[in-house]
Amino acid sequence: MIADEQVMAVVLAVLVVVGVFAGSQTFFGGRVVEPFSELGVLGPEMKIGDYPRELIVEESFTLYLYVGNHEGRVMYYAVLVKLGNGTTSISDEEPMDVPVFARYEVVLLNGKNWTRPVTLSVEEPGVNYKLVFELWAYNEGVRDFKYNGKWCQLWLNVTKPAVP
Amino acid sequence: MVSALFLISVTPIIALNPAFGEFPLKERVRLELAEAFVAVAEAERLSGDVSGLVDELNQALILLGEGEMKNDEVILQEALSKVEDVVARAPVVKQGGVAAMQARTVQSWLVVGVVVALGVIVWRYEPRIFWRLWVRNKRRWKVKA
Repeated sequence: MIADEQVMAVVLAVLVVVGVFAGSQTFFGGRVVEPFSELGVLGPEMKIGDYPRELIVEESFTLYLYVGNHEGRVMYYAVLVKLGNGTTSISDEEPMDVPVFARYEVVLLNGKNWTRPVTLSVEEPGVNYKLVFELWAYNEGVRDFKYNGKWCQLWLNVTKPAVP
Repeated sequence: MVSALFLISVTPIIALNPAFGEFPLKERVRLELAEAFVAVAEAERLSGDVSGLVDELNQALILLGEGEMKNDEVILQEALSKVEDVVARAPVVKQGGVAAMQARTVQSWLVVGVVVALGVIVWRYEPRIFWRLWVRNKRRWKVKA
């Protein structure tokens, strides 16, 4: 009978579609297509903006660090804070080649983020300081931290305190 | 004589091994932290629920920062014991993950089996059942020519 075959064909087609969908969800569900990490620096009000620009030597200022993990696996991050000047370079491939000023570490599960306040101060006066925040991640293959290619920077002018 | 030579040759190796306390405490904490993270990542890769371990690692990191800042051996020791606890617990979590993954695999194959069985049943019996129900439902209908 033609009607029987048509009904059977439709029902089978629906079953195949449902089966393939259920199977693909079982085997591929939760896989991260494009893994990435996030690094952000927020101002003293925990917002993007109001960053310090003019400071006095040893004047403390507070910023907020933000790190997000979308790598699809647990990650061990380190944020390195470095202080350079107008000529020190940094790129997505190469970190800044100056000593580490401060270091903050966190272990993050996939899909989680972390915000923490950091209080810093600069000891030496100078113009156009580049305060750089670099994101590093622990690499299990080389058993060491590797530069992740994410970085943020703030420009600072630091002056000596006024003599009374 | 042979054992004496063996002892002489082994002693420098032991002395250089970080596991035997040659490094300062904060360096030991850092080394253990890296080892703990590798164990946690491995447990997670095998579907273990590592959220508790990650919390403990982060507590250890806070203690490490505090201990380094204050140069306080007691706090650093506390950080080390937390990290060692993570290293000890990670294999258990990994085993739990492996068991859960096996259960999920069995569940997946059961789903596939049920879908296939349903397909066979539908293929074999559905037309008969469908048309029987259709006829039963429409039997009071009258056809006008």
